[in-house]
Amino acid sequence: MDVSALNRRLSDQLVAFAWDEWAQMGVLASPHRRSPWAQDPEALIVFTLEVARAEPRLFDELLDWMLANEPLLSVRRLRAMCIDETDRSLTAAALAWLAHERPRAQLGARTDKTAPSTPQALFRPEIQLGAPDEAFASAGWLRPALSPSHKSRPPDPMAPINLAFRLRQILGVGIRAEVVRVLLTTEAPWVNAQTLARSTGYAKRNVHDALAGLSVAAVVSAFTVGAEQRYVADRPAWAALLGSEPDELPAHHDWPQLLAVLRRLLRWSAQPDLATMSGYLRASRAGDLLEAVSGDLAFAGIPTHSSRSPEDVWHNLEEICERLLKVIGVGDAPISR
Amino acid sequence: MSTSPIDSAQAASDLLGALGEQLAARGEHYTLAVVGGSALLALGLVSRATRDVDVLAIVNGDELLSAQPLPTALAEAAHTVARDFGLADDWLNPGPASLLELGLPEGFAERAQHHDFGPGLEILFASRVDHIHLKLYATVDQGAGKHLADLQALAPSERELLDAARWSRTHDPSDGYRDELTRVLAHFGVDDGRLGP
Repeated sequence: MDVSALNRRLSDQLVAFAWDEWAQMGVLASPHRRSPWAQDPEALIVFTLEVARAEPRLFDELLDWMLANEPLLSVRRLRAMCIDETDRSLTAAALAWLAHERPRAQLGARTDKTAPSTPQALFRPEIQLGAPDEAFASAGWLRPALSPSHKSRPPDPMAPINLAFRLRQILGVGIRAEVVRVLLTTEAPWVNAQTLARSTGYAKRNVHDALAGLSVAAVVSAFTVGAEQRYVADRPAWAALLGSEPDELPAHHDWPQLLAVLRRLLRWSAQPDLATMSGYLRASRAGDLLEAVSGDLAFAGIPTHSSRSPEDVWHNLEEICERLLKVIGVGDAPISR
Repeated sequence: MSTSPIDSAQAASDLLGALGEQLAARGEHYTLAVVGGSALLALGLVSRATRDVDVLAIVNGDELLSAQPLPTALAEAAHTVARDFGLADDWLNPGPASLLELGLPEGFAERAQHHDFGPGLEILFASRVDHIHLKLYATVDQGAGKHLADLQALAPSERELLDAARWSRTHDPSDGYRDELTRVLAHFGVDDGRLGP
């Protein structure tokens, strides 16, 4: 598969994935499946802000959903999910638009930096501009003026994918809801604060403090092995509270890492200069990419292999893409329902 | 990390071509003097596999400069090639750089064969005659094995061996070296009486 075909495949599959996820979370669309996992809303928003640049309708419906469900979101986590300047800039644009539409929104934009002097087109392919949207232009992105459709609904709290929102309704929008979500859904027998920090996007010290509070409240158990504090949630008790069976709790995925890697793969494969490079240099750039994402992939349980030749590097990249698509339930793999 | 051998002239050319591309992509250009197994392979003088490329010197105009340590940009480009081809990280190394300090055979640079590997890299492969010098010295200094095998593959004439022997004595004038040199020359049927004192 050449690099443009790889980009098309990734873009098409990721747009389909994002539509299906958001359709289950309150965006006006018909879901084609019922996801068995608990989604991470902020990780999915930052991911969709990139993926939906190829699908303007999805982009606009996401903004409408954020406007309708803004009290359920954490601006701190949105920023924590950003992995580069493009993420930060897209997120700033979305927050600026929300602030413009609802000036008292808690997600209101706090402008971190001035917009770049040369604004760039938001959508690919570029859309004809009438009057550009002021909020997006202020963050350096050119797009037609956006009015909310007001079609979005609150997420169904009983759907597995929406466990995060249900926990936020119970525990408030903050670190405790995220820690409990991970502890309830992970297959690991125990989790330490370091892992929880990476899974939730909060600093380890803050996670540690939250775990201490949850332990005192006897809804999380802590035990020490060597120098390490390990934590488990009382799944039967939490399941009973949620009106579920312990083995019916949604599945866990390391969404911040998975969606960040997918975003990087998508952006990497869209670089126009890759098409004019030699086969070797293109494979080497793929090697750079795989090296850069190997930590996140390992955290998400997806091993990478060292390569023995440039052809091997390219094969590894394609294999990683397919494995990631399979993990998120798109591509050739059927999703469990 | 595997240590995939460089087992053909094509394999050596592929690696050096990749290194040239990496250097060009970084806006760098180097000219390197290369000796040893990879040079012999590239010149079609031997067919044994090797695991590395020995850099004798960095060439700057008419000057041969020490390659020890490798310049940062060159080392980084070599590291990337190692990753891409599954090679040991020291596949490009300045192992023989110390030879430069004691002097190379007269006319080394003029006899070297120039090969371009794109806009980022030019290689001066040491000539057959110079490899006879270096391999004779290595055989005497380090013992038989691959160096003796390479020397035999180069099929040196008596005169070439004697020239190489005289040069090698400038690197090691000791009696012990002379005794071992006599034995190696005898192996090739050369009487060291013509070598001089």
